[in-house]
Amino acid sequence: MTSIVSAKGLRFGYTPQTPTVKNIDLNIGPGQIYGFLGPNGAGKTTTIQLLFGLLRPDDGTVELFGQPITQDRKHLFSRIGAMIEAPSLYEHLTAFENLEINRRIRKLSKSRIGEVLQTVDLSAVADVKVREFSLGMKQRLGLALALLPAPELLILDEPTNGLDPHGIIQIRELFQRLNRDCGTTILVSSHILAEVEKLATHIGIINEGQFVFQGTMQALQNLRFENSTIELETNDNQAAAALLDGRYQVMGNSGGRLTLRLADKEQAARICRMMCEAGLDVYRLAAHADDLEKIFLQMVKR
Amino acid sequence: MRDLTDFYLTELIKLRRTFAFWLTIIGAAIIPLMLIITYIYNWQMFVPAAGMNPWSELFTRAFNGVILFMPLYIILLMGLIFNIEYKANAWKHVLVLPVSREIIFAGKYLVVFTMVFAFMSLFILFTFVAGEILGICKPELNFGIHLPEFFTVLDFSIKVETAVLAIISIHFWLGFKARNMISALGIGLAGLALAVLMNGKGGYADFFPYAYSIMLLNYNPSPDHANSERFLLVSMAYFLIFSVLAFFQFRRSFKR
Repeated sequence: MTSIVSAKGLRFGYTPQTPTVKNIDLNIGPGQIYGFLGPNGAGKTTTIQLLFGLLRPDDGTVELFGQPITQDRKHLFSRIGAMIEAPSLYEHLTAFENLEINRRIRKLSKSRIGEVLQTVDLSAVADVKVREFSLGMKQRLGLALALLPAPELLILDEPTNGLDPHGIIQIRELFQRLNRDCGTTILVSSHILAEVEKLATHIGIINEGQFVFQGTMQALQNLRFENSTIELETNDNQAAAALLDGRYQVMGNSGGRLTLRLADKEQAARICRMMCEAGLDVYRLAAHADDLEKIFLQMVKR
Repeated sequence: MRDLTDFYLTELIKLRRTFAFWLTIIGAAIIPLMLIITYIYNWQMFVPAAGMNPWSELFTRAFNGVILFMPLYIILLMGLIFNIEYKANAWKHVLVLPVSREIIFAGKYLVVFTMVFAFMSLFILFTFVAGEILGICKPELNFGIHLPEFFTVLDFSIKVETAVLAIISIHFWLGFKARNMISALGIGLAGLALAVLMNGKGGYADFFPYAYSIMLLNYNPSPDHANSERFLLVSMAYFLIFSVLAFFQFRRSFKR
Protein backbone atom coordinates (compact mmCIF):
# COMPACT_ATOMS: atom_id res chain seq x y z
CA MET A 1 0.00 0.00 0.00
CA THR A 2 1.36 3.43 -0.90
CA SER A 3 2.44 5.57 2.03
CA ILE A 4 0.74 8.92 2.35
CA VAL A 5 3.88 10.46 3.84
CA SER A 6 7.26 8.90 3.28
CA ALA A 7 10.60 10.38 4.24
CA LYS A 8 13.90 8.57 3.90
CA GLY A 9 17.18 9.59 5.48
CA LEU A 10 16.17 13.21 6.01
CA ARG A 11 18.98 15.41 7.26
CA PHE A 12 18.94 19.13 7.68
CA GLY A 13 20.82 21.80 9.59
CA TYR A 14 20.30 25.54 9.64
CA THR A 15 24.08 25.67 9.90
CA PRO A 16 26.32 22.83 8.67
CA GLN A 17 27.85 22.39 12.14
CA THR A 18 24.57 21.88 13.98
CA PRO A 19 22.18 19.44 12.32
CA THR A 20 18.60 20.01 13.45
CA VAL A 21 17.21 16.86 11.83
CA LYS A 22 19.38 13.75 11.65
CA ASN A 23 18.51 10.79 9.46
CA ILE A 24 14.75 10.82 9.85
CA ASP A 25 12.81 7.93 8.31
CA LEU A 26 9.08 8.39 8.43
CA ASN A 27 6.22 6.39 6.99
CA ILE A 28 2.58 7.26 7.48
CA GLY A 29 0.05 4.95 5.91
CA PRO A 30 -3.48 5.80 4.75
CA GLY A 31 -5.97 6.37 7.55
CA GLN A 32 -3.36 6.62 10.29
CA ILE A 33 -3.37 9.26 12.98
CA TYR A 34 0.31 9.84 13.55
CA GLY A 35 1.29 11.57 16.76
CA PHE A 36 4.61 13.32 16.24
CA LEU A 37 6.01 13.94 19.68
CA GLY A 38 9.05 15.63 21.03
CA PRO A 39 10.12 18.34 23.44
CA ASN A 40 10.43 21.94 22.28
CA GLY A 41 13.35 22.32 19.90
CA ALA A 42 13.49 18.59 19.08
CA GLY A 43 13.07 19.22 15.35
CA LYS A 44 9.32 18.62 14.88
CA THR A 45 8.54 21.86 13.04
CA THR A 46 11.72 21.61 10.97
CA THR A 47 10.73 18.06 9.95
CA ILE A 48 7.25 19.26 9.00
CA GLN A 49 8.75 22.08 6.94
CA LEU A 50 10.99 19.53 5.20
CA LEU A 51 7.93 17.39 4.44
CA PHE A 52 6.35 20.38 2.71
CA GLY A 53 9.48 21.31 0.81
CA LEU A 54 9.66 24.63 2.67
CA LEU A 55 13.23 23.72 3.56
CA ARG A 56 15.62 21.89 1.27
CA PRO A 57 17.07 18.82 3.03
CA ASP A 58 20.83 18.38 3.10
CA ASP A 59 20.16 14.74 2.39
CA GLY A 60 17.20 12.39 1.98
CA THR A 61 13.93 12.33 0.09
CA VAL A 62 10.29 13.14 0.79
CA GLU A 63 7.29 11.66 -0.96
CA LEU A 64 3.68 12.58 -0.41
CA PHE A 65 1.00 10.27 -1.80
CA GLY A 66 3.83 8.26 -3.39
CA GLN A 67 5.07 11.23 -5.37
CA PRO A 68 8.24 13.27 -4.81
CA ILE A 69 7.46 16.58 -3.14
CA THR A 70 9.34 18.40 -5.88
CA GLN A 71 6.91 17.22 -8.58
CA ASP A 72 3.47 18.64 -9.28
CA ARG A 73 3.33 20.50 -5.97
CA LYS A 74 0.12 22.22 -6.96
CA HIS A 75 -1.78 18.94 -7.20
CA LEU A 76 -0.13 17.54 -4.06
CA PHE A 77 -0.94 20.62 -1.98
CA SER A 78 -4.57 20.57 -3.13
CA ARG A 79 -4.90 17.29 -1.19
CA ILE A 80 -3.32 18.60 2.00
CA GLY A 81 -4.53 20.84 4.79
CA ALA A 82 -1.86 22.29 7.01
CA MET A 83 -1.15 24.41 10.01
CA ILE A 84 2.57 25.00 10.48
CA GLU A 85 3.66 26.58 13.77
CA ALA A 86 1.14 29.28 14.70
CA PRO A 87 -1.97 29.75 12.56
CA SER A 88 -1.27 32.16 9.69
CA LEU A 89 -4.03 34.71 10.02
CA TYR A 90 -4.46 38.23 8.68
CA GLU A 91 -5.63 39.95 11.84
CA HIS A 92 -7.07 43.03 10.07
CA LEU A 93 -9.47 40.77 8.17
CA THR A 94 -12.51 38.89 9.43
CA ALA A 95 -12.63 35.13 9.90
CA PHE A 96 -14.74 34.88 6.75
CA GLU A 97 -12.26 36.96 4.73
CA ASN A 98 -9.34 34.84 5.91
CA LEU A 99 -11.15 31.74 4.72
CA GLU A 100 -12.26 33.46 1.50
CA ILE A 101 -8.62 34.08 0.54
CA ASN A 102 -7.89 30.37 0.83
CA ARG A 103 -11.15 29.34 -0.80
CA ARG A 104 -10.44 31.42 -3.90
CA ILE A 105 -6.93 30.07 -4.31
CA ARG A 106 -8.16 26.51 -3.81
CA LYS A 107 -11.16 27.13 -6.10
CA LEU A 108 -13.68 25.67 -3.65
CA SER A 109 -17.39 26.37 -3.39
CA LYS A 110 -18.45 29.24 -1.14
CA SER A 111 -20.52 26.89 1.00
CA ARG A 112 -17.29 25.29 2.33
CA ILE A 113 -16.60 28.42 4.37
CA GLY A 114 -19.88 28.06 6.28
CA GLU A 115 -19.23 24.35 6.77
CA VAL A 116 -15.77 24.70 8.28
CA LEU A 117 -16.79 27.66 10.42
CA GLN A 118 -19.54 25.48 11.82
CA THR A 119 -17.11 22.59 12.32
CA VAL A 120 -14.81 24.71 14.48
CA ASP A 121 -17.73 26.48 16.13
CA LEU A 122 -16.92 29.98 14.85
CA SER A 123 -20.04 30.67 12.74
CA ALA A 124 -21.22 33.35 15.15
CA VAL A 125 -18.02 35.37 14.76
CA ALA A 126 -17.53 34.95 11.01
CA ASP A 127 -17.66 38.71 10.45
CA VAL A 128 -15.52 39.69 13.42
CA LYS A 129 -11.95 40.84 12.77
CA VAL A 130 -9.40 38.23 13.81
CA ARG A 131 -7.56 40.76 15.99
CA GLU A 132 -10.58 40.61 18.34
CA PHE A 133 -10.21 36.82 18.71
CA SER A 134 -8.82 35.01 21.73
CA LEU A 135 -5.83 32.69 21.29
CA GLY A 136 -8.11 29.65 21.27
CA MET A 137 -10.39 31.18 18.62
CA LYS A 138 -7.39 31.95 16.43
CA GLN A 139 -6.25 28.37 16.82
CA ARG A 140 -9.68 27.12 15.77
CA LEU A 141 -9.69 29.45 12.76
CA GLY A 142 -6.27 28.08 11.83
CA LEU A 143 -7.81 24.62 11.95
CA ALA A 144 -10.70 25.80 9.79
CA LEU A 145 -8.17 26.96 7.18
CA ALA A 146 -6.53 23.53 7.25
CA LEU A 147 -9.90 21.77 6.97
CA LEU A 148 -11.20 23.98 4.15
CA PRO A 149 -10.16 21.74 1.24
CA ALA A 150 -11.55 18.59 2.96
CA PRO A 151 -8.00 17.27 2.81
CA GLU A 152 -6.89 13.66 2.45
CA LEU A 153 -3.88 14.51 4.59
CA LEU A 154 -3.97 16.89 7.50
CA ILE A 155 -0.66 18.10 8.93
CA LEU A 156 -1.02 20.08 12.13
CA ASP A 157 1.80 21.50 14.17
CA GLU A 158 0.73 21.73 17.82
CA PRO A 159 -2.93 22.38 16.97
CA THR A 160 -4.18 22.49 20.54
CA ASN A 161 -1.92 25.33 21.68
CA GLY A 162 -4.01 27.89 23.51
CA LEU A 163 -7.14 25.75 23.66
CA ASP A 164 -8.94 25.16 26.93
CA PRO A 165 -9.61 21.53 28.03
CA HIS A 166 -13.07 21.60 26.49
CA GLY A 167 -11.60 22.89 23.22
CA ILE A 168 -8.93 20.19 23.25
CA ILE A 169 -11.58 17.49 23.67
CA GLN A 170 -13.65 19.02 20.84
CA ILE A 171 -10.65 19.09 18.51
CA ARG A 172 -9.72 15.52 19.41
CA GLU A 173 -13.26 14.36 18.65
CA LEU A 174 -13.17 16.29 15.38
CA PHE A 175 -9.95 14.56 14.30
CA GLN A 176 -11.36 11.16 15.24
CA ARG A 177 -14.53 11.91 13.27
CA LEU A 178 -12.57 13.06 10.21
CA ASN A 179 -10.39 9.99 10.40
CA ARG A 180 -13.32 7.62 10.88
CA ASP A 181 -15.83 9.14 8.47
CA CYS A 182 -13.59 10.56 5.74
CA GLY A 183 -10.51 8.37 6.09
CA THR A 184 -8.37 11.48 6.58
CA THR A 185 -4.76 10.70 7.40
CA ILE A 186 -3.57 12.98 10.16
CA LEU A 187 -0.11 13.97 11.33
CA VAL A 188 -0.35 15.92 14.54
CA SER A 189 2.69 17.20 16.37
CA SER A 190 2.82 17.97 20.05
CA HIS A 191 5.23 18.20 22.93
CA ILE A 192 2.67 16.76 25.35
CA LEU A 193 2.08 13.01 25.19
CA ALA A 194 -1.28 13.20 26.94
CA GLU A 195 -2.62 15.29 24.04
CA VAL A 196 -2.04 12.61 21.45
CA GLU A 197 -2.16 9.32 23.35
CA LYS A 198 -5.96 9.28 23.26
CA LEU A 199 -5.97 10.09 19.56
CA ALA A 200 -3.02 8.59 17.73
CA THR A 201 -2.87 5.15 16.15
CA HIS A 202 0.87 5.56 15.58
CA ILE A 203 3.50 7.48 17.46
CA GLY A 204 6.88 8.89 16.58
CA ILE A 205 8.99 10.40 19.34
CA ILE A 206 11.79 12.68 18.23
CA ASN A 207 14.59 14.02 20.38
CA GLU A 208 17.54 16.12 19.27
CA GLY A 209 16.61 15.62 15.64
CA GLN A 210 16.25 11.86 15.59
CA PHE A 211 13.57 9.31 16.37
CA VAL A 212 13.85 7.60 19.74
CA PHE A 213 10.65 5.66 19.19
CA GLN A 214 8.47 4.95 16.21
CA GLY A 215 5.64 2.47 16.10
CA THR A 216 2.03 1.81 16.89
CA MET A 217 0.35 3.21 19.96
CA GLN A 218 0.05 -0.39 21.16
CA ALA A 219 3.82 -0.84 20.88
CA LEU A 220 4.32 2.26 23.01
CA GLN A 221 1.77 0.96 25.52
CA ASN A 222 3.70 -2.32 25.69
CA LEU A 223 6.84 -0.42 26.68
CA ARG A 224 5.05 0.41 29.90
CA PHE A 225 5.61 -3.16 31.05
CA GLU A 226 9.34 -3.28 30.29
CA ASN A 227 10.36 -1.97 33.69
CA SER A 228 7.18 -2.92 35.49
CA THR A 229 6.72 -5.06 38.57
CA ILE A 230 3.95 -6.93 40.26
CA GLU A 231 3.56 -7.16 44.01
CA LEU A 232 2.08 -10.27 45.54
CA GLU A 233 1.02 -10.93 49.12
CA THR A 234 -0.31 -14.33 50.12
CA ASN A 235 -0.85 -16.32 53.30
CA ASP A 236 2.40 -18.19 52.50
CA ASN A 237 4.88 -16.15 50.51
CA GLN A 238 7.59 -18.84 50.73
CA ALA A 239 5.30 -21.38 49.07
CA ALA A 240 4.22 -18.82 46.53
CA ALA A 241 7.86 -17.99 45.71
CA ALA A 242 8.65 -21.68 45.24
CA LEU A 243 5.63 -22.04 42.97
CA LEU A 244 6.61 -19.06 40.85
CA ASP A 245 10.32 -19.82 40.69
CA GLY A 246 11.41 -20.85 37.22
CA ARG A 247 8.26 -19.51 35.59
CA TYR A 248 8.48 -15.88 36.57
CA GLN A 249 11.35 -13.67 37.61
CA VAL A 250 11.01 -13.23 41.35
CA MET A 251 12.95 -10.11 42.20
CA GLY A 252 12.51 -10.00 45.95
CA ASN A 253 10.73 -11.32 49.01
CA SER A 254 10.66 -8.78 51.78
CA GLY A 255 8.21 -6.87 53.89
CA GLY A 256 5.70 -9.65 53.54
CA ARG A 257 5.51 -9.14 49.78
CA LEU A 258 6.92 -10.85 46.73
CA THR A 259 8.09 -8.65 43.88
CA LEU A 260 8.09 -10.06 40.35
CA ARG A 261 9.01 -8.66 36.93
CA LEU A 262 5.80 -7.90 35.00
CA ALA A 263 5.96 -8.75 31.30
CA ASP A 264 2.39 -8.05 30.29
CA LYS A 265 -0.89 -7.25 31.95
CA GLU A 266 -2.24 -10.81 31.44
CA GLN A 267 0.50 -12.03 33.74
CA ALA A 268 -1.36 -10.77 36.79
CA ALA A 269 -4.36 -12.93 35.95
CA ARG A 270 -2.19 -16.01 35.37
CA ILE A 271 -0.41 -15.60 38.72
CA CYS A 272 -3.69 -15.10 40.54
CA ARG A 273 -5.10 -18.26 38.96
CA MET A 274 -1.94 -20.21 39.86
CA MET A 275 -2.11 -19.13 43.51
CA CYS A 276 -5.76 -20.05 43.81
CA GLU A 277 -5.23 -23.46 42.16
CA ALA A 278 -2.38 -24.12 44.64
CA GLY A 279 -4.74 -23.32 47.53
CA LEU A 280 -2.96 -20.11 48.55
CA ASP A 281 -4.93 -17.08 49.70
CA VAL A 282 -4.10 -13.96 47.74
CA TYR A 283 -4.28 -10.83 49.92
CA ARG A 284 -2.78 -8.41 47.46
CA LEU A 285 -1.86 -8.44 43.78
CA ALA A 286 -0.80 -5.06 42.37
CA ALA A 287 0.85 -4.27 39.04
CA HIS A 288 3.12 -1.24 38.91
CA ALA A 289 3.59 -0.15 35.30
CA ASP A 290 5.26 3.08 34.21
CA ASP A 291 2.84 5.60 32.84
CA LEU A 292 3.36 6.76 29.25
CA GLU A 293 4.38 10.22 30.37
CA LYS A 294 7.25 8.77 32.38
CA ILE A 295 8.34 6.63 29.43
CA PHE A 296 8.17 9.66 27.15
CA LEU A 297 10.22 11.76 29.54
CA GLN A 298 12.81 8.97 29.85
CA MET A 299 13.04 8.79 26.06
CA VAL A 300 13.63 12.49 25.71
CA LYS A 301 15.85 12.51 28.81
CA ARG A 302 14.04 15.29 30.59
CA MET B 1 -4.38 32.52 -16.09
CA ARG B 2 -7.25 31.78 -13.73
CA ASP B 3 -4.75 30.91 -11.02
CA LEU B 4 -3.17 34.34 -11.42
CA THR B 5 -6.53 36.12 -11.41
CA ASP B 6 -7.67 34.28 -8.29
CA PHE B 7 -4.39 34.90 -6.49
CA TYR B 8 -4.40 38.56 -7.52
CA LEU B 9 -7.94 38.97 -6.16
CA THR B 10 -6.93 37.42 -2.85
CA GLU B 11 -4.03 39.87 -2.65
CA LEU B 12 -6.53 42.70 -3.08
CA ILE B 13 -8.69 41.24 -0.29
CA LYS B 14 -5.62 41.32 1.98
CA LEU B 15 -5.36 45.07 1.46
CA ARG B 16 -8.83 45.74 2.86
CA ARG B 17 -8.79 48.08 5.86
CA THR B 18 -4.99 48.35 5.73
CA PHE B 19 -2.94 51.52 6.03
CA ALA B 20 -1.61 50.78 2.51
CA PHE B 21 -5.15 51.09 1.16
CA TRP B 22 -5.89 54.38 2.92
CA LEU B 23 -2.43 55.73 2.13
CA THR B 24 -3.21 55.29 -1.57
CA ILE B 25 -6.43 57.29 -1.34
CA ILE B 26 -5.41 59.92 1.19
CA GLY B 27 -1.89 60.24 -0.26
CA ALA B 28 -3.32 60.94 -3.71
CA ALA B 29 -5.61 63.61 -2.26
CA ILE B 30 -3.01 65.50 -0.18
CA ILE B 31 -1.39 67.53 -2.98
CA PRO B 32 -4.68 68.53 -4.69
CA LEU B 33 -6.06 69.52 -1.28
CA MET B 34 -3.00 71.66 -0.53
CA LEU B 35 -3.39 73.29 -3.93
CA ILE B 36 -7.04 74.16 -3.23
CA ILE B 37 -6.04 75.81 0.06
CA THR B 38 -3.10 77.67 -1.53
CA TYR B 39 -5.16 78.90 -4.49
CA ILE B 40 -8.09 80.03 -2.33
CA TYR B 41 -5.96 81.93 0.19
CA ASN B 42 -3.72 83.56 -2.42
CA TRP B 43 -6.09 83.56 -5.36
CA GLN B 44 -4.98 86.97 -6.65
CA MET B 45 -1.53 85.49 -7.34
CA PHE B 46 -3.01 82.83 -9.59
CA VAL B 47 -5.32 84.88 -11.80
CA PRO B 48 -4.06 83.91 -15.27
CA ALA B 49 -3.05 86.38 -17.96
CA ALA B 50 -5.54 86.79 -20.76
CA GLY B 51 -5.73 83.69 -22.94
CA MET B 52 -3.59 81.59 -20.59
CA ASN B 53 -4.87 78.17 -19.53
CA PRO B 54 -4.83 78.05 -15.68
CA TRP B 55 -4.88 74.24 -15.75
CA SER B 56 -1.24 74.16 -16.99
CA GLU B 57 0.05 75.91 -13.89
CA LEU B 58 -2.18 73.90 -11.58
CA PHE B 59 -0.98 70.61 -13.03
CA THR B 60 2.68 71.73 -13.07
CA ARG B 61 2.43 72.56 -9.37
CA ALA B 62 0.66 69.26 -8.72
CA PHE B 63 3.28 67.34 -10.71
CA ASN B 64 6.10 68.99 -8.76
CA GLY B 65 4.45 67.83 -5.55
CA VAL B 66 3.83 64.29 -6.71
CA ILE B 67 7.34 63.60 -8.01
CA LEU B 68 8.62 64.08 -4.46
CA PHE B 69 5.72 62.38 -2.73
CA MET B 70 5.39 59.37 -5.05
CA PRO B 71 8.75 57.71 -4.24
CA LEU B 72 7.96 58.10 -0.54
CA TYR B 73 4.54 56.56 -1.12
CA ILE B 74 6.05 53.63 -3.04
CA ILE B 75 8.70 52.92 -0.39
CA LEU B 76 6.05 52.96 2.34
CA LEU B 77 3.53 50.97 0.29
CA MET B 78 6.01 48.18 -0.46
CA GLY B 79 7.00 47.95 3.18
CA LEU B 80 3.35 47.75 4.23
CA ILE B 81 2.40 45.16 1.60
CA PHE B 82 5.26 42.86 2.60
CA ASN B 83 4.54 43.46 6.27
CA ILE B 84 1.05 41.98 5.82
CA GLU B 85 2.60 38.54 5.15
CA TYR B 86 5.42 38.81 7.68
CA LYS B 87 3.13 40.03 10.45
CA ALA B 88 0.67 37.19 9.86
CA ASN B 89 3.54 34.66 9.65
CA ALA B 90 1.78 33.76 6.41
CA TRP B 91 4.56 33.00 3.93
CA LYS B 92 4.74 29.36 5.02
CA HIS B 93 1.02 29.01 4.65
CA VAL B 94 0.92 30.77 1.25
CA LEU B 95 3.69 28.49 -0.04
CA VAL B 96 1.80 25.30 0.80
CA LEU B 97 -1.30 26.40 -1.08
CA PRO B 98 -1.95 24.72 -4.43
CA VAL B 99 -0.53 27.56 -6.49
CA SER B 100 2.85 27.87 -8.15
CA ARG B 101 5.56 30.18 -6.83
CA GLU B 102 5.58 32.03 -10.14
CA ILE B 103 1.90 32.89 -9.66
CA ILE B 104 2.54 34.03 -6.08
CA PHE B 105 5.37 36.28 -7.25
CA ALA B 106 3.42 37.67 -10.21
CA GLY B 107 0.26 38.19 -8.14
CA LYS B 108 2.11 40.18 -5.50
CA TYR B 109 3.92 42.26 -8.13
CA LEU B 110 0.64 42.97 -9.94
CA VAL B 111 -0.95 44.22 -6.74
CA VAL B 112 1.92 46.66 -6.23
CA PHE B 113 1.44 47.98 -9.77
CA THR B 114 -2.30 48.20 -9.23
CA MET B 115 -1.80 50.32 -6.13
CA VAL B 116 0.75 52.62 -7.80
CA PHE B 117 -1.48 52.98 -10.85
CA ALA B 118 -4.48 53.65 -8.60
CA PHE B 119 -2.48 56.26 -6.70
CA MET B 120 -1.53 58.07 -9.92
CA SER B 121 -5.05 57.85 -11.37
CA LEU B 122 -6.60 59.15 -8.16
CA PHE B 123 -4.03 61.93 -7.97
CA ILE B 124 -4.93 63.12 -11.48
CA LEU B 125 -8.64 62.78 -10.76
CA PHE B 126 -8.32 64.71 -7.47
CA THR B 127 -6.23 67.42 -9.19
CA PHE B 128 -8.94 67.76 -11.83
CA VAL B 129 -11.61 67.94 -9.13
CA ALA B 130 -9.48 70.55 -7.31
CA GLY B 131 -9.44 72.69 -10.48
CA GLU B 132 -13.20 72.32 -10.85
CA ILE B 133 -13.75 73.31 -7.21
CA LEU B 134 -11.48 76.33 -7.67
CA GLY B 135 -13.42 77.22 -10.83
CA ILE B 136 -16.63 77.26 -8.81
CA CYS B 137 -15.21 79.04 -5.74
CA LYS B 138 -13.10 81.59 -7.65
CA PRO B 139 -14.47 82.09 -11.18
CA GLU B 140 -11.71 84.72 -11.73
CA LEU B 141 -9.19 81.87 -11.97
CA ASN B 142 -10.86 80.85 -15.30
CA PHE B 143 -10.83 77.10 -14.59
CA GLY B 144 -14.41 77.00 -15.84
CA ILE B 145 -13.63 78.30 -19.31
CA HIS B 146 -10.58 76.14 -20.10
CA LEU B 147 -9.90 72.42 -20.16
CA PRO B 148 -6.81 70.60 -18.86
CA GLU B 149 -4.23 69.57 -21.45
CA PHE B 150 -5.02 65.90 -21.35
CA PHE B 151 -2.08 64.88 -23.53
CA THR B 152 0.39 66.57 -21.16
CA VAL B 153 -1.27 64.86 -18.18
CA LEU B 154 -1.12 61.48 -19.91
CA ASP B 155 2.49 62.03 -21.02
CA PHE B 156 3.55 63.01 -17.50
CA SER B 157 1.71 60.03 -15.98
CA ILE B 158 3.47 57.57 -18.29
CA LYS B 159 6.87 59.16 -17.64
CA VAL B 160 6.52 59.34 -13.88
CA GLU B 161 5.32 55.73 -13.72
CA THR B 162 8.27 54.67 -15.87
CA ALA B 163 10.62 56.71 -13.67
CA VAL B 164 9.45 54.93 -10.50
CA LEU B 165 9.76 51.42 -12.01
CA ALA B 166 13.33 51.24 -10.70
CA ILE B 167 12.30 52.05 -7.11
CA ILE B 168 9.38 49.62 -7.30
CA SER B 169 11.61 46.74 -8.39
CA ILE B 170 14.37 47.58 -5.87
CA HIS B 171 11.90 47.66 -2.98
CA PHE B 172 10.15 44.53 -4.22
CA TRP B 173 13.51 42.78 -4.07
CA LEU B 174 14.21 44.34 -0.65
CA GLY B 175 10.82 43.09 0.58
CA PHE B 176 12.02 39.50 0.18
CA LYS B 177 15.60 40.23 1.14
CA ALA B 178 15.26 42.43 4.23
CA ARG B 179 12.06 40.92 5.77
CA ASN B 180 12.08 43.98 7.98
CA MET B 181 9.98 46.96 7.02
CA ILE B 182 12.23 49.39 8.89
CA SER B 183 15.39 48.34 7.02
CA ALA B 184 13.70 48.77 3.64
CA LEU B 185 12.27 52.12 4.73
CA GLY B 186 15.68 53.27 5.92
CA ILE B 187 17.31 52.37 2.61
CA GLY B 188 14.54 54.11 0.70
CA LEU B 189 14.70 57.29 2.74
CA ALA B 190 18.49 57.43 2.47
CA GLY B 191 18.16 56.97 -1.30
CA LEU B 192 15.64 59.78 -1.53
CA ALA B 193 17.80 62.11 0.57
CA LEU B 194 20.75 61.45 -1.73
CA ALA B 195 18.53 62.00 -4.77
CA VAL B 196 17.47 65.41 -3.47
CA LEU B 197 21.10 66.28 -2.81
CA MET B 198 22.01 65.34 -6.39
CA ASN B 199 19.48 67.95 -7.43
CA GLY B 200 18.98 67.54 -11.13
CA LYS B 201 19.70 65.65 -14.25
CA GLY B 202 22.92 64.45 -15.73
CA GLY B 203 26.04 62.98 -14.21
CA TYR B 204 25.67 60.24 -11.63
CA ALA B 205 22.00 61.09 -11.05
CA ASP B 206 21.14 59.36 -14.33
CA PHE B 207 22.21 56.09 -12.74
CA PHE B 208 20.71 56.72 -9.31
CA PRO B 209 17.21 55.16 -9.26
CA TYR B 210 15.80 57.31 -6.46
CA ALA B 211 16.51 60.47 -8.49
CA TYR B 212 14.43 59.63 -11.57
CA SER B 213 11.05 60.96 -10.54
CA ILE B 214 12.69 64.16 -9.22
CA MET B 215 14.17 64.66 -12.69
CA LEU B 216 10.65 65.40 -13.86
CA LEU B 217 10.62 68.63 -11.82
CA ASN B 218 8.87 71.53 -13.61
CA TYR B 219 7.73 69.03 -16.20
CA ASN B 220 7.44 70.37 -19.71
CA PRO B 221 6.62 67.82 -22.39
CA SER B 222 8.74 69.31 -25.21
CA PRO B 223 12.35 70.24 -24.40
CA ASP B 224 15.35 68.19 -23.41
CA HIS B 225 13.82 65.13 -24.95
CA ALA B 226 16.98 63.06 -25.29
CA ASN B 227 18.02 63.49 -21.66
CA SER B 228 14.60 62.56 -20.31
CA GLU B 229 14.52 59.48 -22.54
CA ARG B 230 17.87 58.29 -21.18
CA PHE B 231 16.99 58.11 -17.47
CA LEU B 232 13.68 56.46 -18.29
CA LEU B 233 15.53 53.78 -20.24
CA VAL B 234 17.92 53.28 -17.31
CA SER B 235 14.91 53.01 -14.99
CA MET B 236 13.49 50.25 -17.17
CA ALA B 237 16.84 48.47 -17.19
CA TYR B 238 16.95 48.63 -13.37
CA PHE B 239 13.40 47.32 -13.31
CA LEU B 240 14.31 44.27 -15.38
CA ILE B 241 17.44 43.52 -13.37
CA PHE B 242 15.83 43.90 -9.93
CA SER B 243 12.69 42.01 -10.95
CA VAL B 244 14.83 39.01 -11.88
CA LEU B 245 16.82 39.40 -8.65
CA ALA B 246 13.56 39.66 -6.67
CA PHE B 247 12.27 36.45 -8.24
CA PHE B 248 15.42 34.50 -7.35
CA GLN B 249 15.45 36.04 -3.89
CA PHE B 250 11.82 34.99 -3.43
CA ARG B 251 12.60 31.40 -4.44
CA ARG B 252 15.63 31.35 -2.17
CA SER B 253 14.15 33.13 0.82
CA PHE B 254 11.73 30.40 1.76
CA LYS B 255 13.88 27.44 0.82
CA ARG B 256 17.25 27.26 2.46
